[in-house]
Amino acid sequence: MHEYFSAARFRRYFIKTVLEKPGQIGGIFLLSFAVALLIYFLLKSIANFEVAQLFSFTIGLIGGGCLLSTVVFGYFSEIASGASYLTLPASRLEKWLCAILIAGVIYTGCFLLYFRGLDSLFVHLYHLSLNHHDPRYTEQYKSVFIFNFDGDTSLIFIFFANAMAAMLVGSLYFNKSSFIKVALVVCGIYFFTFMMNYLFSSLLFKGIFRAFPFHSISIKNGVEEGILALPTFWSNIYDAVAIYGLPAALLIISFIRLTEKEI
Amino acid sequence: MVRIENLSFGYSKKRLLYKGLNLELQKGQIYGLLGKNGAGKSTLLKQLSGLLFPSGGRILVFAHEPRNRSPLFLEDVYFIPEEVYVPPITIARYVRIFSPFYPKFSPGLFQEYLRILEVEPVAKLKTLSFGQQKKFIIAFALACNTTLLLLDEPTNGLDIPSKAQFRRLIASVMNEERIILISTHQTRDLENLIDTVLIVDEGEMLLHATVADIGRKLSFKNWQTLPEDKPVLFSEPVIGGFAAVTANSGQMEDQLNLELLFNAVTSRPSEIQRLFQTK
Repeated sequence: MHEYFSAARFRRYFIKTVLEKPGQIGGIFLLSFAVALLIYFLLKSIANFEVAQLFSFTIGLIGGGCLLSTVVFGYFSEIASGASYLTLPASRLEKWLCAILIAGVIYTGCFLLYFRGLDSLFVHLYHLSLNHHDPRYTEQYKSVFIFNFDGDTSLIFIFFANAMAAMLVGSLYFNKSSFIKVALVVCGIYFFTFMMNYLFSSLLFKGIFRAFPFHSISIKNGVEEGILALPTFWSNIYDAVAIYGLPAALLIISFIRLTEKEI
Repeated sequence: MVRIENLSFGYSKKRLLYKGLNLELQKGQIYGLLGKNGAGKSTLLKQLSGLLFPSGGRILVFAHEPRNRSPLFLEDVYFIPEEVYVPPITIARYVRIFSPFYPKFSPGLFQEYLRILEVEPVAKLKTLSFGQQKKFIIAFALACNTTLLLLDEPTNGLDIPSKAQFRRLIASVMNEERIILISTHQTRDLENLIDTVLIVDEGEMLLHATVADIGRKLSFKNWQTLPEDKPVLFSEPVIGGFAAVTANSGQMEDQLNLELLFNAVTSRPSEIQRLFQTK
């Protein structure tokens, strides 16, 4: 068992990973926090709180998580650093778990705490700025509330899990500029599936003008528009694959790739 | 012991670099792995350290298969590539975070090696010159006291005094439990250091012989004109005549000229191999 996992060695490896690249890891945390703050502030000013919260949270969480994912496996741009990483006496499981812990768990936790603090501050300042004697005070007060981390926000977490796992896999396949290359590949795959869905549905139905992978297609018949959705059973399968299956598969692939990585 | 059995490997499936290579490395020996550029020296070291996997055959390093990269195997093997990697931290922090992975690491020896190699102990690693970084990694690797130490072109980037310091240091750390395998194409850097010579070319082990054995079987001399009374295995023009390799007919071991041996073996492999019967 010690061969595969040792708590003491994992702790050492985690400390090594963080202290080896303090600038890079700390920099990504700070950059993501700063970008989230900037987007929040700008969109709050030019749009509204709801838009500001949604965009700053999404970009901060996914952007920072993806960047960190490329850093934790980002040793393969040079043979020397790749050799140092692969020959360091820690098991493959420990190296893999450490990457997930930093990019997926710790970053998420820190960002959620930070965002809750940031959001609370802005919302509180907004509430303080309201005129208590204004007849619309209650309406204005209730129109802005702290961003919820559940409900519809869960879609962002699903997207984050997929993007982070894809970046982990990609940084083990692309030795250089993995962030950009993975982003291009993901966009390419998304576009390909979109086109395939469009083509397949075009073979079965006429008047298709929109086809998103994979829930539904929109059909136009004269001036009438309608949405043809997947049956519930298949829709549930799609959801299960997107929420659990795809990130899990990508994480397993990243482990296998790390195991088979050669330089 | 390190054992390579019937190793096959190629960067492309069509062209194998190694095909059926067999090799055994014994403890207590310093091996010099010589070869031209692209001969497969670094590839062999990477195979031994688990950075590349054989496409056929088997490698065993102290009963571990390197391709598994198990922590117990990695604790006992240190590979220094030609270009070294140092993170942007101080030497003290590097030691604090990397040394715990090597159970036999000795802080005292590490400081001693840094002193011998004249590496500034307080410097940030990234601010050191390439040569200083390399010497730092060599000092760290030696202080880890791993049984197998693999060095790929360790003297590249070192200045002349540092090369001498390196040779002295390697000689001083050698003991009966260690195997040191040094790959280089700079033959002069290994003279008077190695116990066994390995010469590879195009994935084939052309020579695997101890320095003593080579000295007993071959003679390396400079001649004004080539001798006619003994067969010359290999010769090359030098200032004032020829450097030649002949069969050693005397009882005394001859002084090894690694560069000449290398040129002889790579130019006339079958003649030399016949003497050693290693093929």
